Amino acid sequence: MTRYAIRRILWLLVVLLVVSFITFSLMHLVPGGPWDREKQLAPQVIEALNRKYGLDKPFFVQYGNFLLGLLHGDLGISYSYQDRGVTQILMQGLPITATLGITAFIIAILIGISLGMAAALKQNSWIDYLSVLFSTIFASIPGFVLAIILMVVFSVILHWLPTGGWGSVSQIIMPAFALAALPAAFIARITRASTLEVMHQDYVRTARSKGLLERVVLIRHILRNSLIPVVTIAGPEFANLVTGSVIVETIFSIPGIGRLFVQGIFARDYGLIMGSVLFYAFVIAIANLVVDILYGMIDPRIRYD
Amino acid sequence: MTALIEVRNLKTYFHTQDGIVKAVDGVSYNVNRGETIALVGESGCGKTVSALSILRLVAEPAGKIEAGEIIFDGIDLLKLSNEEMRKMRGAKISIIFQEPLTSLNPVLTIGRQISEGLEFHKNMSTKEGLQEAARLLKLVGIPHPERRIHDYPHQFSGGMRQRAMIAIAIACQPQLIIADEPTTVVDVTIQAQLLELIRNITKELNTALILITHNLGIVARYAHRVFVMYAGNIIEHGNALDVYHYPCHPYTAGLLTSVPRLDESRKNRLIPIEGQPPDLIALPIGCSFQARCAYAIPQCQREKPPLLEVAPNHYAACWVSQKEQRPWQKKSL
Repeated sequence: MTRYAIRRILWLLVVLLVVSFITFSLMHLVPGGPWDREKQLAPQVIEALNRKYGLDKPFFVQYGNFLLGLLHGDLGISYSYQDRGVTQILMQGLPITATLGITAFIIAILIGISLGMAAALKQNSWIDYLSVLFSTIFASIPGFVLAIILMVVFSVILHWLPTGGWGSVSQIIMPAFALAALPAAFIARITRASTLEVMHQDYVRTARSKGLLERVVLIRHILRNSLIPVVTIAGPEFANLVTGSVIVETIFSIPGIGRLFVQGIFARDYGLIMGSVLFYAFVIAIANLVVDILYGMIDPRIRYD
Repeated sequence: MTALIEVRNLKTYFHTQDGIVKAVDGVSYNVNRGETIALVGESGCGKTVSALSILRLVAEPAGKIEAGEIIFDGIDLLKLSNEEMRKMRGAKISIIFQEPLTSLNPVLTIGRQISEGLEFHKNMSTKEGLQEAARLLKLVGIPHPERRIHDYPHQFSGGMRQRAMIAIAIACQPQLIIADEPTTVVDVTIQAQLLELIRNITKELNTALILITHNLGIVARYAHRVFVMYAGNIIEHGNALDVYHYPCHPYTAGLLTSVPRLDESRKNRLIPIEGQPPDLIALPIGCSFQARCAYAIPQCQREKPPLLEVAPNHYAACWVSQKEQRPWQKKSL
């Protein structure tokens, strides 16, 4: 398994390289540049700025310089934040995005699995129907719509929660739920389906024939098997959640990497865009790697070589 | 001698969208301590359901035990609470299922699956349970048991998995083991080995055994008494050798001629039983075998034959047989 992990990490580097190249090319292909203002700057000024930041050099030289910087852990400079490098800016956003993402992920898993299990165990009861209704609704509402609905209800009408910002627990609740809703809905569906399937497996009957406590049958024999497909989708769902943070952070004015990314795009802040895209690519790739390794831990039939 | 288990007039029905399937419709049988009986019949005749009913493991909510008594060691199992019933399972009565691959949990080690019952019923620690599991694996003939307890089912061969199932079933030294077609998915040589193993173990532990099979050849060799089931009823029972040599029901005779026998010349072709078993939702009036029976008389269509003694300790539910006529016996011998 260690060999497998090492091989996957090497692949991860290749993925990041490809992502960086594509992003870099796209950034330079998109019309507009970092110096576009409502009031046009003088051509001499733009030329001077381009020279200062090396934007006058050929494309591949620029990309090469970026990679060289990356090797030293330096993501370059940001045009919007003159006082700090991109690495520092991202490092400040990281704990915020991570806290939000992990909170949302935990909520999604807890709600998704318990709802899915409850629905399966009480198939065709009101719990089941409610769970199916819930997952259908939340799987079809986009995160930004849900975010705005939550905001209108809990901030504007009820005044229970602040509309945005970061720093207190009350400010995490809405964005975390807005982010968690979609993955929770998917996880609930998958859990329900796989639990229903596992419940009728012969080995569950064998477990009962041993006279085990129903609780033991449920946790040791049903849950563990029904979670295998859930773990499989947890990776892609985590990726969804991460990309969702871009929108949710912007709506709730949370100073995380997602909002920096959006700001970076609007400002054509090349350094910031590259930095945040690479961050997202890295997180998604690592999430998939973790899932693949977890998968093998739950299901002994999976072999890595 | 009182029987270890006595099933009386058991009725287990399945409530489906198409109607009520009378899988087991008034079945009675008994097993003495240490005795091996066989439940025989073709697929869907209710033999498995009648055995699962003993453990109260019929798939709910569709399947339901509607009536009857199952007296085990003086207690009616059908009157026990779920909690009390759970304590019987695995400890007093255990079962070996037909499909060892799907009947073992793929994500737990073999050792764990053997030891969990021991931990629960015998209050063993996990460590003691695993030691006992290794001993049991050795007993059922698996080499290197100390190593093998850490394996998962997919690392075992088909025969070994069934041995592991046997180890699970005997773990708590139950008084009754139900073996539900334990050898249908393994090849013939392994089949014989497994049956010998089950016989030796039950003899050693003085465990009663209900052997469910469709192979009457196995029955003659391994069972003391046999109960032949057809369409949810017992239609013949008696000592295994009597039933084997002098079948008193044409269905049993048909089963015998449809199974290859080593004690007969190979010139005789196997004769299948023509037709299909009746629809268990709408059973015919009269004998349920009449439509497939070459010896049916008008009475068979009018009245359902009761199970009566037609020879000493040999019972059959057949009007023809009860009239002391058994044309099929001449044919099959």
